[in-house]
Amino acid sequence: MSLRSYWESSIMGLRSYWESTKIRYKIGDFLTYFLLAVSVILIVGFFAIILAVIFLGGYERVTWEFLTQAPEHGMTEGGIFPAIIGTVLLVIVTTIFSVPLGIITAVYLVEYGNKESAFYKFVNGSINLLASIPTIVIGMFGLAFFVVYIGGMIDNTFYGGKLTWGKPALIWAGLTMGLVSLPVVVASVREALEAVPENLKEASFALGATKMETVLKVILPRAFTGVLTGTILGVSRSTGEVAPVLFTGAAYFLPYLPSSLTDQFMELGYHIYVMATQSVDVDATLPIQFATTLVLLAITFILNVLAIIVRRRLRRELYV
Amino acid sequence: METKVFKSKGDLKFRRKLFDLIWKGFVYFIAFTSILLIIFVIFFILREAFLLISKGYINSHANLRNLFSDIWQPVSVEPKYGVIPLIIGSLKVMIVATLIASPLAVFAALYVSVYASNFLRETIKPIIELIAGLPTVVIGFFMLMVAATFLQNVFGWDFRLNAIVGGIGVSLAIIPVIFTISEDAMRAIPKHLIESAYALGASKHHVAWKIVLPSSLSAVFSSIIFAASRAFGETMIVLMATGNAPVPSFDFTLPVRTVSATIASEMAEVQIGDEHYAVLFFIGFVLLVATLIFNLISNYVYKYIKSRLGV
Repeated sequence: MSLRSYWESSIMGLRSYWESTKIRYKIGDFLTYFLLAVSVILIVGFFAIILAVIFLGGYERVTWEFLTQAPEHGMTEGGIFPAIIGTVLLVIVTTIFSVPLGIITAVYLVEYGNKESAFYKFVNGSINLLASIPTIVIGMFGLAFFVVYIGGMIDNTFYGGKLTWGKPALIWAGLTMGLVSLPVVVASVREALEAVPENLKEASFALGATKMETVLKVILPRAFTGVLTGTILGVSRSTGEVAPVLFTGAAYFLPYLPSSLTDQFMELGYHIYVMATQSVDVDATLPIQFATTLVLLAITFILNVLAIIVRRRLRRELYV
Repeated sequence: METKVFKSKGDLKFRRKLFDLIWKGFVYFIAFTSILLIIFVIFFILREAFLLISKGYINSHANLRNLFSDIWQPVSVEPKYGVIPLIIGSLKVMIVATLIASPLAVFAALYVSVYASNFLRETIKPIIELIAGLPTVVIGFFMLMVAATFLQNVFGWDFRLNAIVGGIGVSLAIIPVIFTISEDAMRAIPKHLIESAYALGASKHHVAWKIVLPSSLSAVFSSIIFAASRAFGETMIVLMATGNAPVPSFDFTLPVRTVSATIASEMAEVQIGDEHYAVLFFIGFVLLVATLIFNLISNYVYKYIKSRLGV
């Protein structure tokens, strides 16, 4: 047997081994698994690094005093109390506006709208569009519509042109932010309403209940967890967003807390942005910045974990 | 006596029916509000941008040649309002973010739907939801304070803040968008397709590349385009982490200034109703139109692939 034929036969042998067994599959499988798993690890790792860095950079500064004191000495010392209060007030105004509106819009989309009608398509399309318009454009709209147009109109009609409502204010920021959180609320409530079993509604109708009674007393209570999830996610969204309030009410620094709807306010996210980019001495305030970011991160993180837990419970309810 | 009872019952029924009707009208009215909101958003952005024409700014500094030039210098004796560098800036950030986010998010979605065990799936999906809930200002802060310096040391860029740093930050904000839509579509694939593949002796990577990915291609592509539009209009991350210099160049390592960041940083400095204000609303309108177009393309791609491939 010549070397050459020996060589050829062993190549053939290898080749038939390659073709006959599943080693090929195993290699392909391994490479694919590797690629896909690495993607997951990269995403989760990026997220974990952000959490870790912000936590390690900020946790020493987050004390009770930090949370309950006003900024001092050009924000190089003191706490973030006004920013927390401002954010809470903003979220309250936003929620009062967006949650009822979102729930009823979702009720229309699921229970009332005829899916073929043009009106349904317009409502559905508007909500989707609202979710995809850049938040900065929503902020501009807030400035042009709420502050300049509506506020200016109120001032001219009731205050004889004296500047009262026609300036950036808590109420305008809250309403503008409402536009951002509205689609979030609608999406969650909608999902929950769609999961309400048909036979419950039919039973209610069979007992002679009107559609209004069915919606208010059967469907919405049943979808309560979904409504709760939507509210939590909406609150989380309006806590974290900054762009919509940039020109509609957030202030760089205020020595007093907002006392009426027409006051400006400090906001956590805006506070972070301003301190990180426009502070006189960025390095001196760095620990405070990390601490403020950690507070904002913790609030939204807890809200989102809460939403996930509530939604889990909802799913369990559905399947049991 | 009996007739009276019947009568009151009839009244009750009438009242309930009336309430039902009023409630229905109320629900339709609220639903109509959302249409009204969109019309208002478009109308009021346009109304302020229209000041360019109604106040005659279009005949002075903000003339068309100036608007489409490549210099953005709004605060100077001879203000220049060229939007080209801003649009290039937004495009650069969008390209970087989409190039990073789409493979990662699609692969992660494939992993979750083909390889992951139940436990892993129920761990990864909530984590992605948490990423979606991450405030953009936090990502921006992280990129600005920590990642920018690290990346500059690794790659030796001349500028600490540039399109790539911004794009990496934005990619984290759009990964959940692509992941969620793609994973939903992958989960909706009929089980019998996947099971018959396994029955024919296919291995998992065959199922991933030849069944699951092609079957969800319409959703994958439309979600990527949708996410790109998000990246195009993203504000806080680019405002903090891109250096904010309007340079009309396609060099990704130079600082950039996006359309959204320009609006965010300059709107506070303008007088309401002046030339600069009107120009900012004009570029805001450009941003809005760009988003609408992206959305239309995204829907169109979804329908096109679906009708062509039936998937």
